[in-house]
Amino acid sequence: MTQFQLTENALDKMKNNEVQDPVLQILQIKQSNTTPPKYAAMISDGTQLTWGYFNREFTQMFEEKKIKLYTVISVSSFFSRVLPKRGLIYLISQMTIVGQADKMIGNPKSQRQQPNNQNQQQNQNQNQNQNQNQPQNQPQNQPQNQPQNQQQNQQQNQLNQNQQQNQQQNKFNQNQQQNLNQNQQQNRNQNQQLNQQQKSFNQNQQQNVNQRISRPITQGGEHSVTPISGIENFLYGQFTLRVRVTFKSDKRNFRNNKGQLFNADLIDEEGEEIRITFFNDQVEKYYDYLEKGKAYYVSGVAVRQANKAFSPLKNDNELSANSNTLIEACSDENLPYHNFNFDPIDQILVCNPGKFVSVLAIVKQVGQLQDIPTKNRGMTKKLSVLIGDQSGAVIEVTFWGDRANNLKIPTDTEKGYVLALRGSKVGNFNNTNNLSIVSSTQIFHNPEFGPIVHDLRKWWQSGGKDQKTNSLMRSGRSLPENWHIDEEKKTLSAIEEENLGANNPKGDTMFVRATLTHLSRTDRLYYPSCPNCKKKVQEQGGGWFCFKCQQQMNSPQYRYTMTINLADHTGSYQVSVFSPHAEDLIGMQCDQIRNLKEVQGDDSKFQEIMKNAEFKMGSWALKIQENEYEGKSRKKCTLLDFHLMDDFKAASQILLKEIQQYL
Amino acid sequence: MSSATPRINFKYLSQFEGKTIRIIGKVGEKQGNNVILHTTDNGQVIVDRSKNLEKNYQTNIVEVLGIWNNNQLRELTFFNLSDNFDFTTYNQMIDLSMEHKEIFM
Repeated sequence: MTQFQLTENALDKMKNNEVQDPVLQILQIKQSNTTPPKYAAMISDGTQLTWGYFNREFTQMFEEKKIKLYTVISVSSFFSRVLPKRGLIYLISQMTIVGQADKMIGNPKSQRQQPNNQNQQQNQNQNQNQNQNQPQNQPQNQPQNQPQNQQQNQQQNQLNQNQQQNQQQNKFNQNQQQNLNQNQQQNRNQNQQLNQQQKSFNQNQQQNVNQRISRPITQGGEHSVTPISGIENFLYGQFTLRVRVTFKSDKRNFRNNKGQLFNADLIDEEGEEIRITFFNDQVEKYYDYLEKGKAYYVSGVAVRQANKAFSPLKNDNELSANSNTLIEACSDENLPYHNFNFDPIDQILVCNPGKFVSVLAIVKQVGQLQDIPTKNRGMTKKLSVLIGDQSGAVIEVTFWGDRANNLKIPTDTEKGYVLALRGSKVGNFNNTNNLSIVSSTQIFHNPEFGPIVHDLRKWWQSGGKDQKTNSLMRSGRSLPENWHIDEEKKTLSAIEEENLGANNPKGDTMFVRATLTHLSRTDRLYYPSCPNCKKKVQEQGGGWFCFKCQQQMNSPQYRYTMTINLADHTGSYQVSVFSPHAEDLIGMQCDQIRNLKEVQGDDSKFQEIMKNAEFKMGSWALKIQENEYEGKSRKKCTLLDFHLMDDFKAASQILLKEIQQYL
Repeated sequence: MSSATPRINFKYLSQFEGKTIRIIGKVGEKQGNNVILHTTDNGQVIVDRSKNLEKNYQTNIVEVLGIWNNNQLRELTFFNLSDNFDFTTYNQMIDLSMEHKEIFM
């Protein structure tokens, strides 16, 4: 086993830049909550420890476990930062791996790194106020307080335990607890000394169980800026962000108009985003001051867990402004304007509805402006467009109200109209996911976002616009126009062989060439339905009643519910067929056939019609769903669409072409 | 293995000397008891209809089932086909089935 040598006293020397390429060891690795994650690790020079934060470019090395516990590294470029809780830490911007040790080198002690700059006094004060690793030099309150201190010490331990529980929320602090326990035993005396200060501090803390308050920075002087990804490391410290506002919401009322709020999304130099909410007084103070697109120093804000149901951002944390908050305009140098995290449409189609996504796509089709009645607000405007991207999938985007009214997208989509949406909401209708424009959605028309837009346009021009969408991307009843020609056909045996429908709660869509061999005459052929919601209605009081719509009617609408058998060379399968497909198969309206069967009682004619409908060859689009019924899973197969074989010549040519591919 | 009568066209006839086969073609000139059948691969087959004279071809395209012997097809029976019958597709099918006899014959 090779012995690695760490640079002696590297951590002290790094403070003053007295060392080049110090060799250090990784002792503990933590991951940030951001996406993609960034990594931090305890770095040791054999005698001392501190935290090192690694740039994004090293994330992959951590993920691939090239850097792991006990790895020895050589750091060629680093920056220092002061974090009140952790003291002096290093941001590692360049480093190389020296090798992998299999144990800890030396015996580094976990010590607070005190920075060698003017802020030392301030930091020491803060350190005293925190119940963490205790610094060694506390001259106050020594012998006099012994008797009181006993009791207070017990209280102290109690409060310590409370504090520990609170800290468990922050995963970076789990390790601190171990240190805490050790230190409690080692530094009991010091605890006694600091009691009074601790007590007032803990009282503060009790009030703010779920929030971590930071105090504002001193005005004037240099701003020590923290990246948004570093926020979670601040428990009771202070940090300053330098950010650009990428989004500012409208003012909104809550609690019956008693309170008001607005949100803003902030982006920092590294492209991380975080949302900040302003309440009540803060709204008055900052709503007009903050402008979208401008940059500000933000400090003195509280950090809490993000409510992702309302925010399109991926950050697990959110900020809220309070009376301690300070926001000042500043230079926007190096601050990006946007960070979109566009999702490809094929992924949006299969994700869970309710979340927010951003998408960059080309408009394939523009719908018509419609008037839609709403529950509470009368009529409103609605406009849907179909968008597609390089993933080959398409999705419908719905605009409402004024935005629908004012939408000016040309219906001739040939040239390629680029639409970028930030924070559109994923919904679901008819088993298909769709996108809705909500008030917080940002819309960009033909934006200049650089290479990603160029690539999108290139895709459109070189075939994207003619591409027939892969219908399996669209779970649901919307099938592509020429599915009977273009889509892959399976055999009926595939339903069981591939266990279709089992893995998709929305069901699987499949296409087969088969023959309708049988139309059940014994199973129910039609049912009395509500003309509004299509549900079965019950006979009641001389008429019919729909329980869903709560409406009475004199006579119901009869709708087909047929069971047919499809067969091909691999087997057969039972399929349910409803209106309107049933009408096409039987060749008769539901009312007419009911008339024939029940009213006229003409059975022979009825049988003839059924017989004529049988033995039709064609292409069938089926939806297979699996349901649990009395403890067993059963597959249910429904007809989505069909094309009877009328042009054998064309169908044969298709088959011949397919055969050629096998030869 | 099925005992269905194989379907062929003109170029494969030599392989079926003395055998019963089916062949499709356009009805051509009549010569006494014989009829010329123009096959889907542009061949000409002389069909000896002496045993089946009572029945007449009803359409322009027919499938004849008979015994191939001495450059003549002795008709046993025939089937009327529609004028829409597509020669190209049918011919491709014949070629494929002959290339992959193990599947079809």
